[in-house]
Amino acid sequence: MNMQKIHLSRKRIFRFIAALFCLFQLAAAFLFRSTEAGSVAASARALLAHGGVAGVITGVITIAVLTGLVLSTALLFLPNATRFTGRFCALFTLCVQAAFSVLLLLLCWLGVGAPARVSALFGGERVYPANYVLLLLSAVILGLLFVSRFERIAKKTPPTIMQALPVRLLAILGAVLCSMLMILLIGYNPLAAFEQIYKGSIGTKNAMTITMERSIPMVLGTMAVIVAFKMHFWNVGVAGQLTMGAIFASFFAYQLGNALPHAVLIPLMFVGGAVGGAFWGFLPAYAKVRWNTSETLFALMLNYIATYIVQLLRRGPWEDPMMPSFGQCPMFVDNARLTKILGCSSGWIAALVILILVTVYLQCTRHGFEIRVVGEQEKTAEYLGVPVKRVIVRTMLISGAIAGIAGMLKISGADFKLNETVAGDIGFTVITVAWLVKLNPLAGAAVAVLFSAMNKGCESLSMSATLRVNGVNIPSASATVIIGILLLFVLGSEFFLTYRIVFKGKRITKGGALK
Amino acid sequence: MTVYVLVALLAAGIKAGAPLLLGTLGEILTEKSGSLNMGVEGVMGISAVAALAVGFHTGSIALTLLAAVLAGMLCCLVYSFMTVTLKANQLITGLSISILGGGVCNMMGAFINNSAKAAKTTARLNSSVMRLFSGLDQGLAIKSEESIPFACYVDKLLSGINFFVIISVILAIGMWFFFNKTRPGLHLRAVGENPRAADAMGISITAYRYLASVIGGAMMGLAGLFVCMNVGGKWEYNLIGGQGWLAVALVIFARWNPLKAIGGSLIFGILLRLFLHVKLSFLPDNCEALLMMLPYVITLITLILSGRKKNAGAGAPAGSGSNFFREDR
Repeated sequence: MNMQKIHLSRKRIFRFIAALFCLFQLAAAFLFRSTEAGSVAASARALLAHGGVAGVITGVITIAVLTGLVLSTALLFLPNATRFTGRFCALFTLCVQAAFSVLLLLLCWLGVGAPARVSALFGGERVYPANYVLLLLSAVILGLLFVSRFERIAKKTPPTIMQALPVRLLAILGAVLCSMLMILLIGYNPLAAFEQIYKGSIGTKNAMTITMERSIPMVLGTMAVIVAFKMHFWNVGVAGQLTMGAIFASFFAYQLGNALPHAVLIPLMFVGGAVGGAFWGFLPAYAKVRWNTSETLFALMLNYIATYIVQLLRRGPWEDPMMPSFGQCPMFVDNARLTKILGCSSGWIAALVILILVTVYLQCTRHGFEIRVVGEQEKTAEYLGVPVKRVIVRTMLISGAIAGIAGMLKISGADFKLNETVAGDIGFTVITVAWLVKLNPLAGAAVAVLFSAMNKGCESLSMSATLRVNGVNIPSASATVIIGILLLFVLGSEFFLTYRIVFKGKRITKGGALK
Repeated sequence: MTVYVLVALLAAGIKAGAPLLLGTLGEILTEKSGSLNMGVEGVMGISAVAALAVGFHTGSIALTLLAAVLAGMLCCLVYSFMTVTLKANQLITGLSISILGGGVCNMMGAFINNSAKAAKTTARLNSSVMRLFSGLDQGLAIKSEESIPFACYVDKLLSGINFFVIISVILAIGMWFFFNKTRPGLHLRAVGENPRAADAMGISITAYRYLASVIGGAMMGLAGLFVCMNVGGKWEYNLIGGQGWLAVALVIFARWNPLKAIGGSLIFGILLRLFLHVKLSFLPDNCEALLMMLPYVITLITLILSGRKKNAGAGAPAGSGSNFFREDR
């Protein structure tokens, strides 16, 4: 009995020390990863190689101590059973420790044999493989520590917004760190990169206007996605609806561009855009309601079809007569372009109005209530007398219309020409935004502006002269990667808000309470 | 001449359908276990660019294949970690993997391209790796258009069959055998159909879903490598360009049956290459976009036909799309 008690507490101390060491090893290996002394163990080896007698002694002691510390995590592998006596325990621990020390020394030795590789892939940085291996080993040991203590998960009461805030902020912090790590791994200074992103997005007045310009279709796209997602109708066809809206608006611009006055043409294009997007949003909704198709795939296919329709038009009937056989649409006449206010197209007024309308629609009207009920539980909606099919189709018409308006504002405010790239990355980025803000329209608008700032910033990153290594910049697609990482982290953090982890070691004391 | 054109189209269709088939097989395996992995496009993108990087730097066939397979497995490992362990929404996780994958493909592809350009070379897979891509033909040329020897027809047909095609067909047959004739396959199907019942029988839901995702990811990785080879072993902007989504749609088209997937991928492959080989005279010029639209339109029709009430998801694993939590009521 007594032996058992001592055994347990020794384990606890060793576990604690092992965890501390692993964290220390991780930090050291990461901070000094480009030096030969990147990790503490490698520096011990370097001491051994270069120092005199004192160096040898220091090196040996360091290696022994470090080895002992790391390898006491071997206690993790000891079963929690009582069938081993004390001596057997000690012998077993010794054997595993010895095996681990051999492994560790072998890794240090490998670090000598091939000390550095100049990696063209990582921007010409010197890479020390041994450091990364030790990094991996430390991470694995930390993971094992966690796994050995883990017992089960249990559902918990849904937290309030304030309770959930720390988890969300941690997720965002984790995503930022992960993106910094990624930038570091390809050989650039992450802090300088983020500074350039900031400068390139809202640092100068010119950049700010471009960011605001680009955020208009993003905000509207986010509204469209939120309206549909609230109904649990996964409308991933926003890109296609945007393109269709752009097509319909261009129709009026190209055919009636000079025939109608500006004040009539713009509203006509506006309505055209809305109708085009609504039509493209109607199709997946109808298919879902009538034939129970998967709305995700249906809307996705429509995305590609919309792109090909644009291609058909720009090489066919709407080809620029000035540049034949180039297959491009002509630029809009001035009549069809939106007027600029403060350097940014006046589309932001429409965006603001639609934002307010959508917020009110979802929160305060009966339609909004119906949307929420259909999303949560279709059976309840039917029981309440909500016409589910009509709600689905109606909501998708609205969602598509908003996306179509976004398309119209984009081409007559910024692009001034119909092209396949009118939707660009917007289609998937707005899904990220909507999910990130838990379908809250006002927060969605804010985050949408933030993401278009990020997009613009990463574009300036790809062209900056200062952040260049070997003549190569970070490509502008890094914005999509950072946004994707953020989405994954936030998705993962939801786990910590719905479930709690129960660790081993809760014993029931004499009074019956959990210790 | 027209028969020859048809044979050429068939060969091109086989080659174009192989990445779809590989992606579909990976997705069928994943979906049969109950994980609706929509991120095929992203997985293919990441493995394409990983294989390109490894192939460009090492020039070894084995390492390139290994890189593609490992990259695909890693991506699907992340996906299954997020859905099985962290119990995130499967659809949105899949979408975010496809967003991330597309972004990584564009970013790392551009990076590798620019790095190589700065070093005065081009980033492409060398010819020994590209041997995996070339067909089994001898390259017999047609001498006269009137009488084409039979050997030329066979040769043209063989040009469409390469390493990936063979592997994908073998995998498809193997998967069919696994699902229908082996006990672990039965367990896998049980996990997909009714996870609760399978769990009650003692089958480990976690293990089967993880393994199915990861092995499926390996196949998707190969598909990604093949797409990269399709454009000449280089990187292009938007490399995968929707073929991942076609693979997901093909799963539904093939009713989750690997053997039907072979036929389905052939049809889709032919549709994808139709505009290159066939000049329909009654269409006006510059209308190839209509032909290029065809695979997606056919997919739409497939979705409608297979979603109808009397078919209602026939073949779809009933438990797919939802995460399993034993303590749930």
